Amino acid sequence: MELMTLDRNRLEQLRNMSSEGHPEFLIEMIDLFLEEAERDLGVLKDSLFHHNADDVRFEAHALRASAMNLGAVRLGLLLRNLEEEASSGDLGDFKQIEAEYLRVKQVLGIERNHHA
Amino acid sequence: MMLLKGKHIFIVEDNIENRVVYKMVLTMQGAKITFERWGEGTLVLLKQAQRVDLIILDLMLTAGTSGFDIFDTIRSQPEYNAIPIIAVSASEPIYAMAVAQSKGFSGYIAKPIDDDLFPKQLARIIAGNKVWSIDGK
Repeated sequence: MELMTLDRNRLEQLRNMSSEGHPEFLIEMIDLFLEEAERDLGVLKDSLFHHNADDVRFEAHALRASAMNLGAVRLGLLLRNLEEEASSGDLGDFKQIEAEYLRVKQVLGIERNHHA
Repeated sequence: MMLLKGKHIFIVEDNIENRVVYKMVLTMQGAKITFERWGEGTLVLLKQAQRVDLIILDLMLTAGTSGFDIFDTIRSQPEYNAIPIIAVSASEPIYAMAVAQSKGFSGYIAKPIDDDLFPKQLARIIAGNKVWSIDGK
């Protein structure tokens, strides 16, 4: 089964948390994720460029945790693969991750506009 | 009345959902928050901060760092000896709370936090009290 860009069940959970007295919860979560992800991706790209396996592993892990928390399962899987093969990862892997991140960003942007 | 008006709270927490909860619950009470996600940059960020009134540590960070280790790192710097440090954690509280007490934490609050009570608990700790809460209450 092909993984979705965003897990709709997880998104529904987050929507429910927003409707339980904290209407801005989902927007805050999306904004924080996007802000940190842009920073993490920059560091990840730099670490891959310099073949720093430890930093690649760390940054991939960091971003994966947040991605999975928001239900970005395909992005999470790509990051897990990179985390596991950090020493052989290259900028080709990064392009895949970056492309998936842009898809996540687009879907989250639509979701954010619904709630704003 | 804002319970935490003007208070600067430094939080080491890697879970994005928890960070958002902290931000919403504490800024509503007037607190200023600095987040550190992985524990590794704690001392650098503390040095950059002008004044910190309270430090909150998660105990199990996914990068493998323990909140107890971060506690030791902070306390190894004499200039941070007076800042109260608490653990807010989903760890097994019987064990974790005992370790926190023996190390000299100012409190332990089990996750999930109680949104209404949490700012009051923090205000009490900043005022010099200790809070040991096994169920977030």
